[in-house]
Amino acid sequence: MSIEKIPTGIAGLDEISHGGLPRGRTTLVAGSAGSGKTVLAGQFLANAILTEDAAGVFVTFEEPPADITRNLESLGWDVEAWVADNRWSYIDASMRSGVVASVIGPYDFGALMARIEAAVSRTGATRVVMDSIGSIFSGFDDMSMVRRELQRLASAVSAMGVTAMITAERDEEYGPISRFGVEQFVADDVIVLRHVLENEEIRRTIQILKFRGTTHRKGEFPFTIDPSQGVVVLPVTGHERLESSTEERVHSGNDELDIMCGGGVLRDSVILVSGATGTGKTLTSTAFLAGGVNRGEKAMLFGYEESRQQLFRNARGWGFDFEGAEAAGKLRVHCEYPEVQSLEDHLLVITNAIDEFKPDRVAIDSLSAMEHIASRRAFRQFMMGVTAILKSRQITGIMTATTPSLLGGDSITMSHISTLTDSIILLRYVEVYGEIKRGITVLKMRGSTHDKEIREIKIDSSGMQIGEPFRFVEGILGGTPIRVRQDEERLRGLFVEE
Amino acid sequence: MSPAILKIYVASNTGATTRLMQLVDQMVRSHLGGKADISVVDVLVQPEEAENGHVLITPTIDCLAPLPQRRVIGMPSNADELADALLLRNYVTRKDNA
Repeated sequence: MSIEKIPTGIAGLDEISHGGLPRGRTTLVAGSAGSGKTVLAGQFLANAILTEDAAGVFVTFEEPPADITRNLESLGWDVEAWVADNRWSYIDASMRSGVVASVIGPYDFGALMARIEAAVSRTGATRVVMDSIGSIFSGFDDMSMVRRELQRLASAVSAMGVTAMITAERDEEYGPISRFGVEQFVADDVIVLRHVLENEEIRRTIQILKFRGTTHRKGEFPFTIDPSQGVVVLPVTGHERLESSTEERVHSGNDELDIMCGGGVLRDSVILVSGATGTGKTLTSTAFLAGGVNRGEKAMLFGYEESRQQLFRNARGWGFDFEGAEAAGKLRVHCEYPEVQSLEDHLLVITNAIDEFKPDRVAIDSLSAMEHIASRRAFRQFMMGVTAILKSRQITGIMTATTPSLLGGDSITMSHISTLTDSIILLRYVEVYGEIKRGITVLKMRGSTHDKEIREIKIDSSGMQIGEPFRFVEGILGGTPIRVRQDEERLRGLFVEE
Repeated sequence: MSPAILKIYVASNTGATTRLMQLVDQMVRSHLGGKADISVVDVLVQPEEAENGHVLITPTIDCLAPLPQRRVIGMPSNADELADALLLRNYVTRKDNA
């Protein structure tokens, strides 16, 4: 028998849970203080109200209902109105201060169950959340009793035909599932929320620990708490397949580059432009955007290194009118300091901006700026996320990465993201005959043949001019060009058929 | 003497409920001079009463008077233990019941 799931409506969570929470069961959500348990629980109810007009019951063991209402209303949910029309019912199970309670013998949660049952049958609720059960145990010593009672509670909830979410406190991010070590026996389904300090940034992750008898995606996924959407899970992993599904070519913004790429770049491909500072990366991405705009496409730029003014001035210097394009609604430039928020939040901003503007092509300048603010793992996940967004929407993407050394050399950015991109264009300084020149080459192009030569580029007021291949020079990519003898070159020519 | 006011929350009329009521009777006779104002709430019949009283657990015994209010949770093993927990031992002979 397959287990039916109900969608939570929480972005990304339904994806990693393969469709939502198991219907008619109780899912435990464990997390340390401030990990987002209450928001997740509230969202579980709010989404049912918003999408299915289904009522929910919120049992609170800790915070008074008024506090929860206030906190959730900051996410844009009118909980007060929902309470008024019986779509949202509170059961205030918080311990009253002032009245001293003493425990003198065996007991059960009969009264709580009766209250939940009454609220469910009164409102026809389909979802129940209990937040958070840790606090009701603090007064009781007998763990076997607590465990038994929780089990009864979970089965009583199941018997009511509702799907429940119980939250529980954890003390450590990686340790026992919850403070009392009993809740995991209660629930067939356990989700863990974590927030850990990593590179001086808070990084939130969500992990489905178990779903008895049904599938889910494994591992920790980053999530963020967005002021307008609540919890947003980014369902990215390290092993997503990113295949091109189209043969359609689009203009790269430079006719010569189109030729080098075998007739333009593929419509849903992601291109990485890597080079040292001043080799023409921003120019390449600017030309890429302008090339789209000139052919009637919508283009979007996410700038993380330079201000709008700088980017616009650059564009003007190369003969592109960004102001005009933006005024005409064909271009949108989004500039931000990388440090203002975490990569997860950046990813969310990018996603929302793309879904709002619906561009045909997107440039991100530069990835290196983003790389510096996060761990490798977080950065890679960010890359996966961006790539997935672009591909799923058939957007052509270009991203720039700065190499640390001026001449040749590899970069950290490239080594762990190059597999995620479809095409790699290298821009390099080349020292030949005592002169610094710039070179361009298409290193990789998935799904297409391409020019394998390293060509010289010149940058002038009309942009980038791609010229002839460098002759009689080897070792450019390695950063140590050496001259080769012309007869060897001629020898190579012998194998070329006319 | 002003009688003590007790409110007792139980879940349906089970054997445990019967046993609890016997112990309460016994306590009233031994410690309260046979006089007490007692109301019993079956939470399954009147969940709203449990709601208003912030009751989660059965059995719950609230002592509303004499003040301060106090709450006892769980099944006592005998009447004296219940009287102690409710701070009502020998209430009938005490000075605070005037």
